[in-house]
Parts: sequence; C-alpha cells; structure tokens
Amino acid sequence: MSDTILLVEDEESDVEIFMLAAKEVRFENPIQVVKDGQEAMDYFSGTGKYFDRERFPLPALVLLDLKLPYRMGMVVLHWLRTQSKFKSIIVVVFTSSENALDISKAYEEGANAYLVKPPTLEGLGYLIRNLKNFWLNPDMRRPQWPLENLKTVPFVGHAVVLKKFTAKW
Amino acid sequence: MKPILQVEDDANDVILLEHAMKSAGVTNPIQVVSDGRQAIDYLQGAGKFGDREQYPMPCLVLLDLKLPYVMGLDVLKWIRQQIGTELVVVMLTASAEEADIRTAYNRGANAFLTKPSEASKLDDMLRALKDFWLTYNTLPRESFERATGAKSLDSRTTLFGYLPSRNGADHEAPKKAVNE
Repeated sequence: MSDTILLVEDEESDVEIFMLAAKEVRFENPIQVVKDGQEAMDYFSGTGKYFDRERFPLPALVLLDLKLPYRMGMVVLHWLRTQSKFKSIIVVVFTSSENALDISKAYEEGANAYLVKPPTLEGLGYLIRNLKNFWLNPDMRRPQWPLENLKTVPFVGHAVVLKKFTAKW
Repeated sequence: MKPILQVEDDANDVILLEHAMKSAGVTNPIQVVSDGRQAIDYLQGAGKFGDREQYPMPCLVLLDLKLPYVMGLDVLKWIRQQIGTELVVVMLTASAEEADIRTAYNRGANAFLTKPSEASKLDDMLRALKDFWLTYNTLPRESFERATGAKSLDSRTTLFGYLPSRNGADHEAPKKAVNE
C-alpha cells in the first residue's frame, strides 16, 4: 500500500494548485485533504466520516497550514503532540507565513519541519518531488501504527487543550 | 557556510558518506566527531571545540544511534534540552528497532533514516536530504535574516503571489508602479 499524505488546507485554490503540481511531477501517492483543524483532528482520531481506516489511513506525512478555520494549525499540532499515539507522526508545516514567531512556535510545538509555500507552480512541483524523495524514501523510518489499536482513540480534552494553548498567547 | 556535523564512529561510513555528500552536491563543510561525548562538546564549544571560528555551530546534525560513551538518543535528548528545537537533527543509522524510531521522534528528531547499502541509493538520499533541509526548510533565524536583509533574498522564499518568470532568469521582484 502506497503511503498517504494528508494536506490540511482550507484555501480551495491552494488545494487545486497542490493537486495540479503533484500531477505534473507524477506524484502518485494518495493525497487526502481536510479543510479545517477540527476535520484534521477527526481524521486522526478516526471519528465521524473518517471511521474507516482503510479508506482514511493514518498519513506518512502531514502538510499542515497554520491559518485554518475553527482550530488553528498550531492547535492541531499541539493536540497531536499531546496524544501518545500521534506524538511521533511526521508533521511538516506548510504555510505562507514567514513570521519568525510562527516558525519558532511551530518547532517548539514539535513540527518536524517548516516550509514556506513556493510562489510558483513549477517551484511547488519541485518541492513535491523533493517531499517524495526525502519523506517517502524507502529508507525513511516512521513509527508503525497498529491498526487494531487505533479504532477508538479517546477524543476528549479539546477544550482543555485549546484553553491551555490560548492561555499561553 | 555553516557546517554539517556528522556523529559517526565507523571510519568506513565516514568515508562513504563524505563521498556521497560530494556526489549529491553538498558544498557545506563536514565536521566529523566519533562519539556522543565529543558531539556534546562540539555543540557546547567545550575543550578543543572552544574556537567557534574553527568549529562553528552546524546547520544540521547527522546522528548515529550506537555511539561510544553517550548514545545517539541521549545526545538528541541533550540537544533538545540544552540547545532547543531549532537545530535540525536527522538520525542516520545502519539499522533500527521500532522502539528506537519511536523514541527518536518522541525526543524531537526531525527525521530518521537508515543507511542504504547501495551507493547510488545513498547518493539519492543525500541529494534529497540536502534539498529538503538546506534549501526548502525554514528556520526562524533564516526568516529573520531575510526580513532584515541580512542575507540576499532568493526567489523561492519571496512572498507568495509574486511570480518569477519561468525561465528562472528573473530573480528580481517587479518594481512597484509609482502613482502619485
């Protein structure tokens, strides 16, 4: 089974450009898209329409935008890193923000890397090819997810996480 | 140009990697230390590593798992506690157990690679590693340097929305029209 990547992106035009660039460089791995922070959390937890792990597998790589409706990308990242099951999932921030504070905060919250969206379709194509060559390299090691243990992840504490997070700002 | 710090105790692997880095077009200087204690000394500028001009802080650490004196995972823990989260640490090791991989990511490793046995695969891996960490990835300090003009702008990281010409010759942002 081919490794899935999960794109957390609310801007429809950015999703379209990403898909187009991926097609141009013949990126053939499945790409799942969720449009806001809440949906991202639902996807990871396998709740609601994301119940079926075969259709919605845990991704080998998450590309996370920071400016998202409902729950900001940083909250999603913070939440992932406080869940023992998702603590080691690979999250690469993928945003248009070049703000040094956003970058510092993302690394502090446990992002594996931070990418600024390339300004051209061609540039994005090169980047997607590089993502494939580096993060989906056969010699890249990621923790394995035992499927049977993932069906019921306790989905509590959002409010607490959010409160704790916003309190810091 | 900041060096890459390679923490590797196997002399053969040092030579192999040095060769592969050259093939992959890595131009950064490579500093090699052969055990975990030396890695920590290097990073804190202790002992013989006191001279930061001769031993500058690296832009990237390639860290083996099994090392004399201090193991790779403990060096990683030390880095995250003492240096912080902004130094890129990529684990690069011959083989790995599931528990090591999980621990490495939980302790804040940026990525975890096993060394491929074929030379051509190692070249490809290092080329991808170079492109990702030394070209695409952004660290806070780099962003600050760009914002203050301390380093020249490169076209890839200018603001989203500006489209350089497709032939790549035009790396200057279009001049703003002045209408007064």
